[in-house]
Amino acid sequence: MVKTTYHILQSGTLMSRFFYIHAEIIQGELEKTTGRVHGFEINGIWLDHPATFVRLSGGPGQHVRLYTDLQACSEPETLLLRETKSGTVRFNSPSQTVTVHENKHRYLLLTDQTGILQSLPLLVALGRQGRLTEVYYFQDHDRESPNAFGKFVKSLSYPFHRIRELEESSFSRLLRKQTVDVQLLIVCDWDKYSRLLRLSRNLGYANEDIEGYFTGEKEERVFCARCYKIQKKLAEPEMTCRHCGTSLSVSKHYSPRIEAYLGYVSL
Amino acid sequence: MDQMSDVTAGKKIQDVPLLDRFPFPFTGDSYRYSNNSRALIPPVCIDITPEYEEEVIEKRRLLELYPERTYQSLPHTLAAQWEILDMLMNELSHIYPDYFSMDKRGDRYTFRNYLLNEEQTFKYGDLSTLPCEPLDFIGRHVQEDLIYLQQRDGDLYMDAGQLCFPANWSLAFDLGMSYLQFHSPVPIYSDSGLAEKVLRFLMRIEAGKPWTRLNWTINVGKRLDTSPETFGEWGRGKLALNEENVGHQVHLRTEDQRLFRISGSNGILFSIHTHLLPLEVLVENRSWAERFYRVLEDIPDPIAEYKGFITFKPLMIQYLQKYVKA
Repeated sequence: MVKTTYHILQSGTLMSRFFYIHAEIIQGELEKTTGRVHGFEINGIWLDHPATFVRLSGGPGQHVRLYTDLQACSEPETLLLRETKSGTVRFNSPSQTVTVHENKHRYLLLTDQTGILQSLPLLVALGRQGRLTEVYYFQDHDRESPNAFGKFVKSLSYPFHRIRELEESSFSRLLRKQTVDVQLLIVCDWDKYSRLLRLSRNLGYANEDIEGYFTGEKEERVFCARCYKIQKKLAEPEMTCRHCGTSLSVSKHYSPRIEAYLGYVSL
Repeated sequence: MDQMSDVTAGKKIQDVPLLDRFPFPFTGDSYRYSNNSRALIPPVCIDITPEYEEEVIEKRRLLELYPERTYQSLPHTLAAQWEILDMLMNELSHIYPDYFSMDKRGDRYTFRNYLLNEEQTFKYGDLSTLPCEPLDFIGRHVQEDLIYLQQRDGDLYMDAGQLCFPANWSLAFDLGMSYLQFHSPVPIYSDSGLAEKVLRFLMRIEAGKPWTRLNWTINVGKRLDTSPETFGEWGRGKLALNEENVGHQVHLRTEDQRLFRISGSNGILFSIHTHLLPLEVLVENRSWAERFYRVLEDIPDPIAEYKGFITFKPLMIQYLQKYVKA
């Protein structure tokens, strides 16, 4: 695993929830423009929290901005971060990256509360490249307030749409009316990510039209061959469909469209 | 679909004994997965057999009762579906003029099926003038299952299909999968590099130069619909096999598969015509009985298991052995 080391130039908080570090590379090379890393080391102290980054310039003297979510940090960790104004930051090769395809002309960023940390570097990268972008934010419940994120998006002069529920038929209409030069950038929790991926693939979006990754845990699922209902995959290969009561033998045959393994009927 | 008013309807298909027309799939005494495709000469997709009416009626029954199981399509395949409909209607009316005809006046088509006494007039490209999607419509006039593979991103994707007689695979589940993904359950084929090789071959198929291959498996009972959805119904037949009924119940199931490039949409039409031959009839051809016996004796367990007959393979071998020369 390649480790890159940076000299901290500046740090601060963003939207009162996220901490950012602006730094210049002193060792290694960061190949990808944006992505996520599992933890980072700041002045010799390892913080085991996800962080996202955006590479601001290439070649020698690369500048990078690193973001982490203070809500995931303990009080001493938050204090440490807030007091860090200089020194070094190090992190490993990214675990996930997002590629913004240059042959596209418009970008739809589809995200939710869990995807804000991942969206920040993406929006900065798109903004620096002057890409036409729209943000669709899925709000899980009424108490949730994405105002700060909305303001951040608008500060980049990007339209910000708040969607209260991922209603597939209306979202299909939105995706269907897009032109071929659009790229979907999806960073949401597993449930929304898999539904959006399925929806867009069903509408003919090719692999190169879709980029992104899901946040949090992936729930493995089983498709019942008899009733077509989907349910959570259990540890055992044999299970009973909780919808139709059929005994199922769970196979390794996996559908990326349905995001589930096929459960064969067993006698 | 209208009933024809004239008296040209009700044409009869010439009866040919099953043994004289069954596509026996083995060319040697051993069977392994391979790219056994050969050029399709003449380049005809649809085969009409004496079982036509019985099988087309069964297809339509399944399509009405289980639409989600038997027909699936992604919206971007409509243009390809119209191409397929046009190609097959042209073929049917030219190859089987006694059974089908098609009149084209501009984009106004009239298709007639004399075997079933049906007529449909529609406007090419206008979905509202057909009772169902084009691939579904033309599939209701042929015995073949019709699968459309869309070529994109350097791969083939199963993006539409009418599948009434599957050999234990689900179109509803496999829809949208790439070639390697929908073949992933096939042992040896999927993990030996052969699937990748065949994929490269398929992607190079040219318009007007179709290919064909035979695939096979074993059926218990005379049932074309062996879908995984209904395994609870047909799978039990395996448990009831014995020395007395094996010859009658067990069928060699051959799939005559044909591959055509759909040039306008750059996809592949994959047709599957399924034939069943009971062992008790197969053994009337002694050379077939001997060859099949040797194939079964030699077949690797993972293939027998995948094809679903490993539990009663000894019973089949024992039955066939009686017809093998000492």
